Amino acid sequence: MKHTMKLASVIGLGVLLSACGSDSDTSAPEISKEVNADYTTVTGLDASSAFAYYDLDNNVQLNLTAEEAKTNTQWDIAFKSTDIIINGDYSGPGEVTAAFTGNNTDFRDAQGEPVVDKFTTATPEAELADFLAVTEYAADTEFYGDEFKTVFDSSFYNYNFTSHEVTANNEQYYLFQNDDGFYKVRAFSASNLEGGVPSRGLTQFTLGYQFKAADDQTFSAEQTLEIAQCDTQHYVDFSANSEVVASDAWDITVLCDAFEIQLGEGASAYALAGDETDERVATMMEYPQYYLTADFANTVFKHQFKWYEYNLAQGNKIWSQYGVYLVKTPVATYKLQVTSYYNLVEGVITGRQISFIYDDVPQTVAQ
Amino acid sequence: MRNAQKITLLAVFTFLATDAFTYELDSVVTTGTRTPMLLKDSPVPIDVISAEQLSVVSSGTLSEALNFIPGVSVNRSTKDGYNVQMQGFDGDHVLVLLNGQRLVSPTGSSVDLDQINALDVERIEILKGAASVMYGSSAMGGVMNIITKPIETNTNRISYEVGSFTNNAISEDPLEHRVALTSAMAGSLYSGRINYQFIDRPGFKYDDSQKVENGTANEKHFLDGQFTFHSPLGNIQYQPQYFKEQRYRKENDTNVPGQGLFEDAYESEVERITQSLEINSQHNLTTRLRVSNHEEFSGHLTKATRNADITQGSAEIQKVWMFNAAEWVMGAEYNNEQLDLPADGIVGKTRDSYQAFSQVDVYVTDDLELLAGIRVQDNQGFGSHHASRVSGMYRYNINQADQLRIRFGAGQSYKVPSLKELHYILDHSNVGSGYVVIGNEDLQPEETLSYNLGGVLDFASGTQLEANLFYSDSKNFIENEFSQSFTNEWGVDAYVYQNINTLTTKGGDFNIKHALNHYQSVNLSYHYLEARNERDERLENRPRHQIKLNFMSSHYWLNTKIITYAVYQSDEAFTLDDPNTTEDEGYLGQHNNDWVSLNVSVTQQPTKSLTVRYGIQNILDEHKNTSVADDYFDAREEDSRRIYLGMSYDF
Repeated sequence: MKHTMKLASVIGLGVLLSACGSDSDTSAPEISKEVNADYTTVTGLDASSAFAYYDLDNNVQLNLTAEEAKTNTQWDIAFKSTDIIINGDYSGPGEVTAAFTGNNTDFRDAQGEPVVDKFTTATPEAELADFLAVTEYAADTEFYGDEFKTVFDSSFYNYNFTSHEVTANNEQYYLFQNDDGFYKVRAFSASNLEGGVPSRGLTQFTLGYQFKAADDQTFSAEQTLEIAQCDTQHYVDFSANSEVVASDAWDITVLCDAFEIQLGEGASAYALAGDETDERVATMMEYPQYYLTADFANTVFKHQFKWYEYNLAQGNKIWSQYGVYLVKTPVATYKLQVTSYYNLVEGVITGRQISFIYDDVPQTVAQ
Repeated sequence: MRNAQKITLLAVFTFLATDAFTYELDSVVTTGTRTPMLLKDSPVPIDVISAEQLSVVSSGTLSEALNFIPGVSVNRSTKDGYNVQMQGFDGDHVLVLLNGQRLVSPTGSSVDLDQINALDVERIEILKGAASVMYGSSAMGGVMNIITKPIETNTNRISYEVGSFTNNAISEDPLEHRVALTSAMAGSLYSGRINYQFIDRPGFKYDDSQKVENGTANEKHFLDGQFTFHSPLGNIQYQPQYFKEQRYRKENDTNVPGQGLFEDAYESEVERITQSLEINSQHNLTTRLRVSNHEEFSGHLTKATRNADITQGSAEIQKVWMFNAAEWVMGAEYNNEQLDLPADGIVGKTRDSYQAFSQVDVYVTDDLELLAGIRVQDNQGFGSHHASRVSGMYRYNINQADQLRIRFGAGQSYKVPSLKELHYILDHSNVGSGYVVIGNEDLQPEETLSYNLGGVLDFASGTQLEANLFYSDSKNFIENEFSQSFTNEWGVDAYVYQNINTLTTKGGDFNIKHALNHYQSVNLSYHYLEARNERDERLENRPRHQIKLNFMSSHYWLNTKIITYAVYQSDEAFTLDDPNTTEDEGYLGQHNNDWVSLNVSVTQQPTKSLTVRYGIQNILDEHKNTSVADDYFDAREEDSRRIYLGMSYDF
């Protein structure tokens, strides 16, 4: 425990209080904060409608819009619903990274599925020991950032490590949805050859896609669209069966130099496994919200090391795994444990009221 | 039958129909055609529960009254109470009327039969199948018309009843109580009646050591009046009604992740005031005015409660022209409804609708009667909508005493979107990972095209065989469906009400009534139902097979009347969990999908003034096995054996 940090927190709070009445980028949040000898408790952080941005270094919530947060380096961690993002990489400019200490591995089985009883019987009091047990972190701890991840990812092409040649993985299909209906999409052909020599980007790319409108029973025959001169960025509109420009309504964009395919606004997709049956695809089209997603931020807290599970004992509740995470800001490194998604206001349970505990933690000193 | 004969016979049969177990064919009904008609002359098939049947089987409300009617399923739930299902349509699509006028249904959904007073009811008419032409929106699966008693004599009655859920009773509150008072005064110019009923019914639970209760405790007050002024120009009837109910059901403590355990319960409170005025003028002109206000709040202790304030007003005029071989009914209606559901984003939403209907009942020959009608409705929002229907009956006299009647019908029915479906915003963005359910102001009415064909064979011996087949195709059924565009806009999963679903129902009723002698009759019915959605999947909560067996008897000894009835239901559809996915789509298997309920009700009248009633409902104590029902499908309700003993004194 660094007492200097505690002092900094208290001073920070004092500055905040003295700033009341004047314009400030900090709000007077309806949260309760308690600093004891071992850790700081933040209770009732409202994450219901927009991201609640928190500055761990100064133990204060910041009143920022999403637009302001894009250029703000003061916030360290932010909460909205079950999303937790850190200010670095894809999520912000603040160079914050995070790691998971690996506690409570018994909350999940070998397949990664939640062990219901572990989640539903865990309490903040019982899980505090895990938090207190983290007193330092190793110098070689691997920290991660929130990275951008596309649904197509790198699965739409094959890379030959010997010849460095890229070809289409035309057995990989994606279920794609836009306002018109559903499409089955695949990379029909692809190449990175330029004058017969592998280059550092796609040079030719052909999309294959089959369409099914809401009233249709089956998908249409496959259509193809070739980007013969693949360079920089190209935009594709399926319904027009042609390339369009960025200012048009487009369904996907191919970033040739980055070997990347991104989804257009409002579109969502799902990478089908090779053995999906027609019935299962029909189920996906019936409940697309459970399968199809937009391109997303692959966050440390939600995607890389998931902090919660949903609806384990019915009632649509969110159950914390009480994982202890390390959050490394340019100022310090903190251990952090999310203790609740709920709060009680006048006896009524309110959701998305995040509570967490955190404390700074030193790096292990080499002997 | 010609009209003059019909009217004469009406009076005769009305007199004969006073015996509870006199054959129902002699009852007068109004629901099929909106005009008085003998049951056996109705071109639309109608079932009737008489006042005396009702007095034997009911304990204050209509919740128990319908269970022995063939083809009617009574469902119960904590939130919605008791509601009926007919021909595959749920309670939202069955219209409940009181003296021909629709009752307020909370937020546009089904009417709770447990909130309807059974005191002073003359009869209940049940029309199975589509009837929007005569009654407008929601009459897709059927119509239930509750007719109150006319005031004919000076009577005062006080009643008390005590009951118990026997082995499922809650130890700290084991007994239920019901008190009722009726006072009626009949005069040549004025007549009036007031009745008050108080019901205090505790909940029940299957495991007394657990906190959770399986039956909801409720406390009800009914105060109803009926005042008639017999003016030279016609009868003017004013009916004010007040109803108040509180419900409470303890639940297991709620485990709030990260916060601990909190005591929890479901509670609701309803207060309803209705005033209606009916003027029956000369020349068969009827005018009806009605204003009703329904306020309720409901919810769990640990969650924010939801408040609803619904006001409905209606004005209706109907004129009947009688000709030698035809009857022509024409009418117009104005309805206004207002809804406040502040927790769901609905404040001060209002809607007007104007309707006109016309129906002609023609005797083409002495044996063939045809009924053709049309209704036009103009609503704010979707504009105008219409429905038409043709029905008919053909009589064939096998010999002088035995008769075959064939009834047939084809036509449209509809249900307009409720104000809730139009304007709802259920913001559950705070629940779990969050979702919202959003109303849609572009919704169109749900539409049904239905057909029915049936035959009744009446034997002079007192035996009646009846078979009815029905088929319906419905489209534009309203369901909330995931919307990607609204999800993008709201930032959480968004479900929007849309006209997307279709429903196909088909099935049949087969019914045998047999009078063993003048005092005993038996009724055996079988109901088959197939209800499928647009994906050709069977709809849940709809039993495929239903058998009902009623035995009714009366004895001179203590003027005893007994109704014993059994209900068997089987083969409901349910969703099985897909073992190939991690999602929880449904049940792991089936625990119970066919069950029998046995019931017996007795009334005795040792003196002219004193009536004693007692009985056992659900003798076998058939109920859902709640310890496995989360994982394994159990078609049974959360019900309990119940015994009761009551008496009433007339003075």
